[in-house]
Amino acid sequence: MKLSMLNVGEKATLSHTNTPHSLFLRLTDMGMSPTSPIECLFCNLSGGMKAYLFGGTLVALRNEDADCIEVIITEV
Amino acid sequence: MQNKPPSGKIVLAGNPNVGKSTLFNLLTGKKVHTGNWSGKTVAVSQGYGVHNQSTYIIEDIPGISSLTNPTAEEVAAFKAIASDSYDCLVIVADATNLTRSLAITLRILELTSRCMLFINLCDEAKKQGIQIDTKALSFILGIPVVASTARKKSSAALVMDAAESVIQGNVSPFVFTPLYSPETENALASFSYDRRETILHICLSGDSLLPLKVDMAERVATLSEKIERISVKKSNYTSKRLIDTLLCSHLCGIPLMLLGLFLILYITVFLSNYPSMLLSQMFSFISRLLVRLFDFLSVPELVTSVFIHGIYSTTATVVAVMLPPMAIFFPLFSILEESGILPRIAFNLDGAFKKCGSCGKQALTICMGLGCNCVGVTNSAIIASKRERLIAILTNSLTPCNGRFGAIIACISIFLSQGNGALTAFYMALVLAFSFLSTILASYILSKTLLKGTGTPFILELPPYRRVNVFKVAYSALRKNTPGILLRAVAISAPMGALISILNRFEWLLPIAKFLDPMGALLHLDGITLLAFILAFPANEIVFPIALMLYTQSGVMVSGFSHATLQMALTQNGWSAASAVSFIIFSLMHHPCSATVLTIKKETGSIKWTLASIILPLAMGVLFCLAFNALSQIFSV
Repeated sequence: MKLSMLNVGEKATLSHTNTPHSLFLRLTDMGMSPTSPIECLFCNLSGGMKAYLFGGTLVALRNEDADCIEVIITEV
Repeated sequence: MQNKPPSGKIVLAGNPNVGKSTLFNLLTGKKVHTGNWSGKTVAVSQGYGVHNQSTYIIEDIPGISSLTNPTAEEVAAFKAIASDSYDCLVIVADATNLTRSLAITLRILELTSRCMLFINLCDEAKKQGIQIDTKALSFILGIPVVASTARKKSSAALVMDAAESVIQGNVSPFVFTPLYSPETENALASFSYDRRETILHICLSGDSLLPLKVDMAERVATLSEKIERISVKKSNYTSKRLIDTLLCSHLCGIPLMLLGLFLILYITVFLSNYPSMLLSQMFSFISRLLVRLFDFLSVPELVTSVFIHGIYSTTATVVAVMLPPMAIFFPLFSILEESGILPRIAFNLDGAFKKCGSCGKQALTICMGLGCNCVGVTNSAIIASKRERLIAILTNSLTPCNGRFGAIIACISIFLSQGNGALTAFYMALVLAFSFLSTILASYILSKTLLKGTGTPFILELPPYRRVNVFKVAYSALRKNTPGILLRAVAISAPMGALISILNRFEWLLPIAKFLDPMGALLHLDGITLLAFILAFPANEIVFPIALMLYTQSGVMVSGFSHATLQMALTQNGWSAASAVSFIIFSLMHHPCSATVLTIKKETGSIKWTLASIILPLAMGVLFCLAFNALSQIFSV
């Protein structure tokens, strides 16, 4: 499923990515990795952006950017 | 200290927001402003540090998130890291999130072995139950590792000892960690490690290089996690989640932010009244002394008029009105910065900015613009996309800075709230909401016309909250922002004061005001008010002092006048509640002050965009005032 579809409180792991390489490189530099769990913590008021916790870093992504990252849900 | 030839150059590098500037301040004794959000440091700072009777050049470079794919503002940091210009690179890491710092450390180790690792924020890590085995880390990475906190004075000696050992070459042999796939590593085996990146860039084009980099970045992330598992015992981001649950919630997020803003403004406005009054009285006393001295020395009247009633009075007015609110607002705002709340504001407001073709980080530049538009414009550098950065710069002056607060509040207090403090603060909040909406509107117009373009990926890091040393942060903010802005305002006020005095002396001001009257009438203002806005180009603070000087024909500009004096002068000259609203609209939307214009020119490097930044708010102000005037005549306000 797409990362943007992860609901607040759900956890997942990275499956694969269709993200522009440049964006994914930044995310991996920030701690996103195939072995690190990703947890969706918050969603902003407009619903267009969600905050994800991975590798100890809390990062907010717009849904259209998170759409390019495929994850496998591990914990609801 | 600076006279002794330096024994080496030490550069501080690392991810954004890990405490590089705090360490820089500790090593050099300087007071560079710090903040708890990514991208706070936008320029290189340089200072000197002394250790074991040797002097070292210490350089603080902007934080960098990705060495593989640096953004425009990270390129300078990347070049500094990849260069040969230093003797030791201190990689500053965050103990509470070591995985990320290790990722960049591994990438830096691919470029240079002249480095050491300083793990900062160990006090906070300890509170979170994180323990770091520095010996194991040093063994794995092959570089000196020091763990402490940059806020502790004793850390300076630990860092400098380790840096000195790197400079003197007393370090263990370089341990190379393969980062690329085995095939790529085999292909690169015949080259020295510091030339690998260059070779890759020469051999592969951008499209074929990127998948390789992605593969490498994943390896680095996995490797960082492995190293962290060996050397760190931890439990992470849990305790501060409650604050985020409140600040980022749909129900409480925006109201809490508005409440915080309201409190900051309330404290700023009401606390600054008393010191402003005292300063004004002191300057008036000095003015009287100077007049007596000039009389005693038989100085010609024209000189007395230009120097005392012109240069001195204008400068004193600017200082008396500008200094107290600045001295209160900047420290209060810095506490917000340091705590880590600002990026949450960007998170909450991103939806609105996205709709107008910008991003949530513009909300941060707006917040800074409330203190001073120059600061807001300079800090637009935190926005990665050039198009979105220009939108933030061009619209920043639509946010009322401290300098405009005084006049707006006086108008509200006299004509709308009749002196009721809470009602004044409420109307002020409405004015700010209007200013925010006009910024959104201007951003939308720009993104559909002059600055058309598609949105770029937006990554917003939400840093962990930090305990704030209130007094230290407040003092640092006061030292950093206030003198510079005040000096800039004074430098422009003095010649403008002389000009006003000469124009007044030869009685040219009133004819000019009369000439502007018809234009003012269209905007529900008068010629004197329009002329005051023009002459207040050096600093927005002096709009009312100039208007008052012209209304009363006193020939002397004074600050610290009471609302009663102002009310009398304004009502006697035909002001009504509608004139006050028109004044507030025009005060929100007119040309930026001279210091902001100079800053915009410096940041954009373009006369075209500088002119656009003047014309845009002015055109909006004229249109809004015309519309309000028409409406007020229809409804006979």
